[in-house]
Amino acid sequence: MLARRAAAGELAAFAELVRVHEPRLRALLRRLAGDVGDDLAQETFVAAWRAAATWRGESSYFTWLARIGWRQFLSHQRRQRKTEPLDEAAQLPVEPQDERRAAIEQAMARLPERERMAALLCFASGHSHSEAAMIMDVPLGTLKSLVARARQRLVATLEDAQ
Amino acid sequence: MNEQDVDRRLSELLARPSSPPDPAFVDRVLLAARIEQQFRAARRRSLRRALVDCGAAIAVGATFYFMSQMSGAVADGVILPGGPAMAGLVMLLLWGAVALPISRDRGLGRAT
Repeated sequence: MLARRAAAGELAAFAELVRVHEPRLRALLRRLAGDVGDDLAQETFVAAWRAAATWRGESSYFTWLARIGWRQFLSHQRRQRKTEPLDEAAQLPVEPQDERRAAIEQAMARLPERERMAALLCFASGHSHSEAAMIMDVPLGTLKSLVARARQRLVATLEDAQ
Repeated sequence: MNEQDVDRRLSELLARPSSPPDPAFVDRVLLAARIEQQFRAARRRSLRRALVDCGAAIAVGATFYFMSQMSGAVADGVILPGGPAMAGLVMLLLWGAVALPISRDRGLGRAT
């Protein structure tokens, strides 16, 4: 298994893991953090390599990576002292296909970061609530509250767009 | 619409087609990982070197301590176990034990 070989310090196995997971992780972090998403993804992979020996296989490798990515994002936010929502222009790296998609992407950009991450994990990435709670390192109840609040705001946006 | 329908609708709207792997990004990550690996190895070497240096300093300090404890005159040709000649010999042996492995590690002992 690649993750076990990477945990043993085999760089070639880690390279294969990067190839497999980078599109999904970069997409997640770009939508979470905007323009700095790629830098965060790179920092996440380097941190994962540094901590490769600590991987225990308790979750999927992507879940483990996403957890590291979320921590990288939080420390980046602390460094930047940014607490306001992301700039919407920076948050929309791809062109939405229709007005509803545009509206919902803008609503995502306006969400507080924890709600945005919860919505990305549970709605866009298809993670279960328990996986998302593990990634964000919050209790399951807290995660469900974050998802509920995000859902409420996104639905309100959809209703306005109709 | 119930909650599951809402979630399904949101998932559809938020779904994005998966993008292909970016070889340039992968190369950047691997370069950073290699640098990290080399940095870790250099740090381990530095730590080992620092420990060895500490050992040498302790050996020298202990030798001087033994010498300071020396008392009384000693006849020519006599080497007392706690005397300065023995202390010098011990210091020489410790120096050899400490310094020679470092020289080997750095390739100083190899013929060029």
